[in-house]
Amino acid sequence: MAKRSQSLSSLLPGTLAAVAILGLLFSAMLSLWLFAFDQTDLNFIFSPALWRILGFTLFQAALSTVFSVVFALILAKAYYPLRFYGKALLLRLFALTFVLPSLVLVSSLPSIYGRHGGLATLCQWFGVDYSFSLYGIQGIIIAHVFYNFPFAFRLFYQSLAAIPLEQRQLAAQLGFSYWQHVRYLEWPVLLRQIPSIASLIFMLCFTSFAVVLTLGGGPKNTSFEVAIFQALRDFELDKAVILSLVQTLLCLLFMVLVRRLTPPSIMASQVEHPNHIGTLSTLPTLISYIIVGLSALFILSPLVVIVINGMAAFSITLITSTLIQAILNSLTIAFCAATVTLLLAISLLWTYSRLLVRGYRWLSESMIMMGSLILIIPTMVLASGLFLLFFTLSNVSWFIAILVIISNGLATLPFALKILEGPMETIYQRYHCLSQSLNITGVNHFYWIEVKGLKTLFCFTFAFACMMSMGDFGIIALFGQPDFATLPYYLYQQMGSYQQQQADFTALLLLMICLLLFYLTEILMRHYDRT
Amino acid sequence: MFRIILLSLSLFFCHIAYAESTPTLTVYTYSSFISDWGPGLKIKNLFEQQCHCNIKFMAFGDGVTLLNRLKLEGKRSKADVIVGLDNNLIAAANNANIVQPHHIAPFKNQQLAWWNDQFMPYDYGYFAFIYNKQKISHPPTSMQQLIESENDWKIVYADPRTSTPGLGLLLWIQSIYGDKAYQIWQAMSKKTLTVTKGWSEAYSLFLKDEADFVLSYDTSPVAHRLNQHQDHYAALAFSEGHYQQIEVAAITKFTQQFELAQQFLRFLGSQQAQYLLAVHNVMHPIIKIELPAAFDPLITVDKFYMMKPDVIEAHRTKWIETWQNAVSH
Repeated sequence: MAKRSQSLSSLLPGTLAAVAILGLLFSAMLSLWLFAFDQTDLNFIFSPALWRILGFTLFQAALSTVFSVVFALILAKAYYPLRFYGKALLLRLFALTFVLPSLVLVSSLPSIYGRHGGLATLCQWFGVDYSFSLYGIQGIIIAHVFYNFPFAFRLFYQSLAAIPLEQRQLAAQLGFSYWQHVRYLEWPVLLRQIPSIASLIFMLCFTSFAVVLTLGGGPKNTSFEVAIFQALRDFELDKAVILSLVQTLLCLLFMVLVRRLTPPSIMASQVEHPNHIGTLSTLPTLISYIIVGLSALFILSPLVVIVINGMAAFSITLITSTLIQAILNSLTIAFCAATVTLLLAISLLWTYSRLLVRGYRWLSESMIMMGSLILIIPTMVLASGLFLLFFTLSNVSWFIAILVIISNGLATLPFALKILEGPMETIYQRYHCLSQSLNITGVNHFYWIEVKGLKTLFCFTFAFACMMSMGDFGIIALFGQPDFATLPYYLYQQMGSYQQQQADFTALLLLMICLLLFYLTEILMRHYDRT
Repeated sequence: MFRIILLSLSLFFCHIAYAESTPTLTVYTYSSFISDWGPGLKIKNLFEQQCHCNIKFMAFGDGVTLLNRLKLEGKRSKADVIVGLDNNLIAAANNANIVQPHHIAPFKNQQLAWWNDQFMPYDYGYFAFIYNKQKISHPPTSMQQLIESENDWKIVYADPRTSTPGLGLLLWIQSIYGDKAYQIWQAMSKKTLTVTKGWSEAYSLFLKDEADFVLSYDTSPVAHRLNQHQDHYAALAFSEGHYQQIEVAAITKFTQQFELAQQFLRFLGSQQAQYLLAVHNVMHPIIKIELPAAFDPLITVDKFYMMKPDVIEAHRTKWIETWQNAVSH
């Protein structure tokens, strides 16, 4: 009896969360499909142009993923052993790239790499001919690496920091060389992270739209998502639904493939520990500093451009009541959405880690996949479906607010899952036998083991989810309710009303608020630690 | 305590009574129309003073999103008035069967020759390329010159599949060149920096000096003069002529308040509203009115094109394919 209730309590949270997510997504798709079905005939075929687009989308997504992951691995390895002033700050700044709306990104990257950008000016100084063009596959990859590599780096860094102290000490005693260190200590931990990070980045790049279109240099380089968007605009809803399904299947296939290609989890490690950093010899240290410096330059230069432009555009008249309202809306939506994200992530991972310990690897991994599904389904399709599904409530403000919060919360879920996946599993495995013997279950288990052990990470995940929701333009524009104008929405309005310079200030504000959010979380955590 | 409850209750019922006595007109539009810089809220304030009604705006991304929302809603729509479709969307809106004749006669001092029984024009403009006078001293005077120029010029425009100005360029090129459009697109692709998702991306790349010419409206320089007091942006006047875009408003089939809706549409054609529309939507007013000096030095368009809605509807897909094939090589 006890055993049954225990298995129920371990299965229930994740199952409920998964059913809720799947239910929402599929009923939205289905309602759109049904609506379309009695509207038009099902008579469309895959045109040759679509196949070409599909090929290009796969190509750019794969290439962007490889670059992002490889760079992130190299940077994590270089960053980990270094000790320098501002190390934590830099880590925080790196996370900021995620918050930039694509409109801001595509107009700030040219300030660095464009025809009259920083690099071109620098080349002119030294009398070098600058012939690099940002528009083409290279531009797409730069933008995607800029977006995704900091997140991947953060996760790899987190894994390196989780290698137990004892193992590092043992390795030192055995006199491991630099390469032996990498081979036996660090690589296995990193390898374990690669498939899921790669899948996540692949999906983001696969469905990337405005960036691909703008930096692609023409319709030759467009993404599959454009076809879906086009179908929706032409009101060919059935086509939009079918194309979304194709996209979903392709991404799922990729995820399964990547997971198959990599070995199962090798080791369980301790979750957090005092940062033990061995001493490095001069040459690796030097190389590490160079790598960190270059990466910082790559990530920070567009951000610096935004800061400079934003400050140049500042005037007190820009602080209007609409702007303040937009900030408040953004913060409210972000906090609520982050709460939804964290609740769903913890529920899913609760069951995930328990299933994994019992050996149901396939089942547990499908839980993670369900949480990531939202990334593949285009926002427009989801929003239209939800609209039809809840038509009678579509004019009720609070209901729209809930939909916006839920869809934002779902959109950040894959990232929260990724951050917490490893640690949640590890901590459960580590205390599995102990908690069994002491009969610590349910809420008690959650408080004494998960919360006590992972509070720092929970806080970080919350802050990160907040930040992502802040920058999300999401479905608000599609529901037509001007009452929920968020900061990115306000920014888009400015850009659309010949207020580009003023929009620079809004972008700066967005960055500053996110940075502040990170700071506040950390201060709170420190305070909590002391008491 | 009891008094406070009584007071608040009576206030509450007063509020309900008030709400019932003032009708609400629901207007569907696009989001920049009701932004802080758009004309929407200013027009709303003026109109509410004279109609003793409330205007409730619902704002969507752009005209196409707005139209699709109406199609999704069908008969259940709560919209009374639509503001923000354009002449190129009229056929699609007619096919969807969502509007009714407005029964408004053309305005007395109207300068726009176009009129339609279902869709009332409220402002208009011409698609044109914008350039920086400080950077280009000898601007091209025709589409042909722009495309065949030996200068290393770069053009940026929005995608016709995803944006209204992009579709405008497609129809413009198609109007000038007809069957030769394929070759023209091929030639233009050599001068194209990139094709963006929407007008905003293209325009901000232009302002960052990435491109020499951007597809926009003949009135865009007015915005720079009004907002930033900058006078160095100008539109290219083409000898082949320009493509006209007319923004229209309409009354939906489902409205319960036809007269109020009609009153609102008439108000859009009034001097006050036309001034606000011209200055804040940065377009030409449909009637002759006194405008700020910033509107003065605009290009003169002697010849312009405007395709019939059913022609656009019938050929759009094919023309987009032509464009896509021509610029993809």
